[in-house]
Amino acid sequence: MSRVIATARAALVVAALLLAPGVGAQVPEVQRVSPAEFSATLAGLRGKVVMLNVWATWCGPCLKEVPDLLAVEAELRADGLVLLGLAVDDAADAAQVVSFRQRYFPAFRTLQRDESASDALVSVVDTAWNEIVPTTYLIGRDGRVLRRIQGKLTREEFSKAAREALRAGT
Amino acid sequence: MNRLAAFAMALLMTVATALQAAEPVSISPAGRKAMSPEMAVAPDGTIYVIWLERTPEGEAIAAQGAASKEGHTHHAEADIWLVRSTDGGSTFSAPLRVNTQSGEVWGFPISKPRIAVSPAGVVHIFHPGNATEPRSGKPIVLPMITRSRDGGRSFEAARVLGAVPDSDHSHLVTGLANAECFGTMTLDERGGVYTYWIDTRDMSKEQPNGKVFSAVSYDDGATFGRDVEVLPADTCPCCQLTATTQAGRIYLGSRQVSPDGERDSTVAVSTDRGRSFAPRTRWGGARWKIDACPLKATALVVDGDLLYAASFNGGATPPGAWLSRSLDGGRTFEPAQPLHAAAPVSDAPVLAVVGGTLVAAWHAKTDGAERHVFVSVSRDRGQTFSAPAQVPAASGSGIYPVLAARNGGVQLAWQQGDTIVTRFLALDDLLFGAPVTRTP
Repeated sequence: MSRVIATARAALVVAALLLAPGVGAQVPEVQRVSPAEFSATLAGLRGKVVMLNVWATWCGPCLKEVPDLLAVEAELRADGLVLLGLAVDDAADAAQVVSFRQRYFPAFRTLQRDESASDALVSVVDTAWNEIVPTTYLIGRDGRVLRRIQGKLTREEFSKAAREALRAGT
Repeated sequence: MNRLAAFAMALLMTVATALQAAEPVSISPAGRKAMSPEMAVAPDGTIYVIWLERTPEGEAIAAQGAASKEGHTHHAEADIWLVRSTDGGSTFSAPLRVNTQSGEVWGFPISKPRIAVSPAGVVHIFHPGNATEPRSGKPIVLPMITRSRDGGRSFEAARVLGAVPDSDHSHLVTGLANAECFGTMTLDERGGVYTYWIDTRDMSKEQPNGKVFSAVSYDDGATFGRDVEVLPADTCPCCQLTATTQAGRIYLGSRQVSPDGERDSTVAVSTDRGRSFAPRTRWGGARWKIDACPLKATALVVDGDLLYAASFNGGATPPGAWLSRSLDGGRTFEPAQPLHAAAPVSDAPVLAVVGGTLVAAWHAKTDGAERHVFVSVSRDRGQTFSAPAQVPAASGSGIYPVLAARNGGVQLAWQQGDTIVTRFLALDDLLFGAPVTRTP
């Protein structure tokens, strides 16, 4: 039953992600997800190249790179790139993630963790995650992780990595 | 026959006792979210364990922060809880809230409170605390210390050790006008209480790193000198400091950010009771260039003329927990060796020395699922180690172990799910198997 609910919720998230046409448009609410819901959300994005950004409101380098990631997504969205955040702030700070996103990065489509451990969530894509933020994953159209990037890169470097991921999936 | 039965009964009781002793004891209340244990053992053998819990008030503050101008305050309210055992860890006291005011503690596990017990039995707890900058009214985090002179039954009101700076860095520290946290504490045998923390007071947008400040007491915490800067503004601001003392020397572990962006684990040494530090020594071999929040501390322990250091190194192959030793008091280090090369994830190492035997504990993920606590020993002064052994525990993730030497073994505590657990490990425990030589 919980799996059905997770799948249904994930389908709503995916629909919102795919329908939102880009900068300036209505961006879906920040959704709190369990590992199962996160997994289902990613499954719903098969066919797209997903740039998954693991971030936190307390992480300075994370906050510096989000505008660059948004710019790369705007540049490559028509080619099939989807930027998706996963905030790993403490569950007690859930409201802060929502308001923080709204204030600083209103165009940033992001999920946030529920009561689950952040390691359990990120392990959906990377069982060897070492709790470093930011970590950005480029996930191919078939759902496989093509590249893990830890730490902030330049906009050009992110763009190059995203283009390589898009080429790898065609 | 009777003698045989008696022998069998005795054997069964011995095995049962051993199995019982091998089971970790839960020391935080069920149904609460306990995190980030720390531990100390007093000269009389009393075991003290502390941990953090976020408070309902803290969650309300978080909601207020969400509604604030910044959308976030970084102002997390939490409590420190303490239990003690006077029977070698068989039983523990009921949890005591250490902080006088609920929510007084700045409550993030990445900047956890530290506990230490002086030779006179005074229990010191050093933690980041919530405060308000009087001019701007903005939240700040200040280093605070409290102590108990009755064996952990009661604690004094917390005292603030760091100055309140004029500067406002809320645009850099996301809502906090200043942060003085990620600290550590170590004691010496002469009443010295040495506290260190990472301080954002001179942080800039171009150099978003921290300085290290210190406040020291030479009378077992009765009085402290004013805070002074001991390391410049090139310290990774999210990697908690560590410190240890021996034979008049203070060893301070931090992660230094190089001009090229490497965040390497370093050790600084003071030989004048904390008044000054020699330039930091980088150890670990491979450089780790990363613009991120690694959240990785450096474990330190001294054994006579040997200094051991262990930490996560993301630039090494494989990335994970690595260990090295210095034979010259921290001036140079030998090539580092991995603690758990076969594990895809190994992190959060801690060290203890028991009668010349080095004990290491860390958490690792070997099966792609959850993290578990592992241990290993070196009986030849850090040259070879026993194979990593997983510490048995209930289901769930076992993370962030801490160690304290006592009674010919180590007391081990860690976070198992949302519970703090502890157990004793004798050096002849079967977990510490045959030595395995590793290739650095």
